[in-house]
Amino acid sequence: MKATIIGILLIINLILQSTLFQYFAIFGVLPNTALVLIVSISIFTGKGKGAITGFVAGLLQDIIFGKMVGLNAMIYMLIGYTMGSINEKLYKDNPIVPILLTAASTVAFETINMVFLYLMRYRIELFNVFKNMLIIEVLYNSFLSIFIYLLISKLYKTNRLKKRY
Amino acid sequence: MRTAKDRTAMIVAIVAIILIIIMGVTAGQREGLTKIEEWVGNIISPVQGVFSTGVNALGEGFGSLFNFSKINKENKELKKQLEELQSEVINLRLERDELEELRSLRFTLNQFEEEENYQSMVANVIAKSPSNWFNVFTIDVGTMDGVTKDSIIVAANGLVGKVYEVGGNWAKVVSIIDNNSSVSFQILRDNSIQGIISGSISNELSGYLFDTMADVMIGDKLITSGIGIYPKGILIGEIKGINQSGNQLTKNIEIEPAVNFKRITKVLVMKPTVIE
Repeated sequence: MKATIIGILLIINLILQSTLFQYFAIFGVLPNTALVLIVSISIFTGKGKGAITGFVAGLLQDIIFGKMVGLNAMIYMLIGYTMGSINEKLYKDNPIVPILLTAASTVAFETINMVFLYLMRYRIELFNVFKNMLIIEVLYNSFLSIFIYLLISKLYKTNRLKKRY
Repeated sequence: MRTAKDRTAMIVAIVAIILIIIMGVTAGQREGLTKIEEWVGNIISPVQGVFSTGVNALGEGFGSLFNFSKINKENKELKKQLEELQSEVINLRLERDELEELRSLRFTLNQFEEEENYQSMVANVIAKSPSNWFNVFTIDVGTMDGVTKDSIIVAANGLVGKVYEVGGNWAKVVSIIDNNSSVSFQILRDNSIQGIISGSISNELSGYLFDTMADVMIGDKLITSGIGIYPKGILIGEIKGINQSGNQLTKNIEIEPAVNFKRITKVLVMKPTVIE
């Protein structure tokens, strides 16, 4: 049941990202809500499910928009796994948690992305990446993570209560 | 517990390695999409299409509400431009007659025809890439409408890009301001000045001239030169900055594209027709 909801959420997110969110670019930088979603979901589900969520979301994005298949799927999967594996050590009600983790994973995402694109012989202008993209994206994603984390936490808390009674 | 933990890590590692291999295979130029990719695209694209028409309509509605005075001003400017253009059309018509005469002369002299035929059709942009790295978007025509890989995409006022991959009812388009695309150009005013422009991460067009001593200035219009897959004579944009390096070895230019890539909703697909 939860898996279906998450699957639908990921597809809706991709559609929104590619249509509606295009209007909300700040200085030409788009927020990566898929990444925020994966981080939030992994914090609640753990590493195995986090990895699967990341894999599915990344693969969808790769197929529809990617110039190669597998890049996003791999990075999202690794991030989902890492975030999921530290979930037991976290105090989940603190709003700082999703903000910091989102910021860290945005930096990780873009760094791994850059390394692979460099290996694929893409032109990387390191200075431009930092100046025009990374800083704004980190701030934007961290800001959005507050709301997305709240949404996801609601989904999991209600389910947990239902199980108890 | 320990073995279970190791198993998840192992699976993740193996899948990661498989994905890297898939990446390597799919990164180069491919002939076509796999069945799975086509299938996923065929299902999601129509939904995106419906969404983006709604969103675009909304956006335009809001925009026109706030920009009423701007539109009024624009209207006046456009009327003025129309008058100018009408007089220009008359001049051009005269020149066209002359050109046709010369063409028929050339035909009689048995020169070879180098004209290529392109068939064009209108397509809607249905979705744009959420990634900040690439400038890729999808359109609502595909193999069913006869679109092929490397079809040329133009907008009303200039070059947009080319088709990268085609699915059943959708196609992926890579625009010219994308990180890894490059176009060879010539200056409209003087077709002996040629060079290459390419896109970047910050989605700005920049390029260099083959001849470092060439005489170009800000405001010069660039058109495609016909080398490569783009046909000759499509407007790209105009020069907005020139940087000459100190040692005179390179001459770099910055280009303002003719097409507004942020607000692109309708494009023209030009597919080459095979001459039999």
